Amino acid sequence: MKLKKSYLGEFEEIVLLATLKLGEKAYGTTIRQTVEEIAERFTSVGALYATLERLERKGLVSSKQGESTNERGGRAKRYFKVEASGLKALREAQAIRQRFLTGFTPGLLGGAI
Amino acid sequence: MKETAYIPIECPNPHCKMLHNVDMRVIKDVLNGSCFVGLKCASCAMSFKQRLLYVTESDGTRRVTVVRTVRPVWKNKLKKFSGALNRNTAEHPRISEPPKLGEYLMYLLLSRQDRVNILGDLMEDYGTIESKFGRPAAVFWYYKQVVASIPPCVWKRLFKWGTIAAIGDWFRRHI
Repeated sequence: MKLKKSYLGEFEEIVLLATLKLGEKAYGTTIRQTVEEIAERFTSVGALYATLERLERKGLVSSKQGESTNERGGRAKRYFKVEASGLKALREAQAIRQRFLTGFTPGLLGGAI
Repeated sequence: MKETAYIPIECPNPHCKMLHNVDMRVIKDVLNGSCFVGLKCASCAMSFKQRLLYVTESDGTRRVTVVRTVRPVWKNKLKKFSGALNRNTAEHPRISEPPKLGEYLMYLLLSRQDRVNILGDLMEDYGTIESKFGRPAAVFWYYKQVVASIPPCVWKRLFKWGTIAAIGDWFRRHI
């Protein structure tokens, strides 16, 4: 089921960027670790998968079942991939942010931009 | 009256199959009946039970027959746990063991399609943390993940219930 309009939330944007950064290696564990490393925030697997499923419903990412390993007790991985619409949504979010920042007084946010 | 002193019993472990000579005196008090003999394999150290039948033939000969091999104790235990959490332990021997209570709570929280992937991810992370920081830190991390996953998982389930959740979602977004 596709939603009519896809606005990206903050966490959705972070997850989408992490998935894009990881490329073919993007699955639950790696995405969570990347988000924690770069965004420096604790991320629960429940919240991560809920977000990924929402992004999938919006048609921004797609997923496929992967292989299983001994470390996972024989359970399969689920790989995620950013779709063209996901890239478009990211570009739009970036453009909006850029438009806001254009002409910003330096030091207004407490540091140089 | 002819009586065999020992009866050979084979170890049920397919990789071992060692023959054990069981002394008949152990079961000699059971006449025309059956009994179980508990054994521990001298080769692979596996505990198992064997049912023996003591019969008297028409000519007065008494003999002991091995009735069937009972499933070994460790296989019963393995089946119970792997069945509860759907672990494929036979093909994939596990390296580290996440806390069972935490795993079971996650199992209850998650939907059927997410269960395999999320529990696998958690187990993988748990193994990494355990090897780096030790078991107590890994157990703490696991339970932190369980507690933090409760609100999104519950919300996701509510969302699937339809109208009520949709109204709630509208309030969450607009108010």
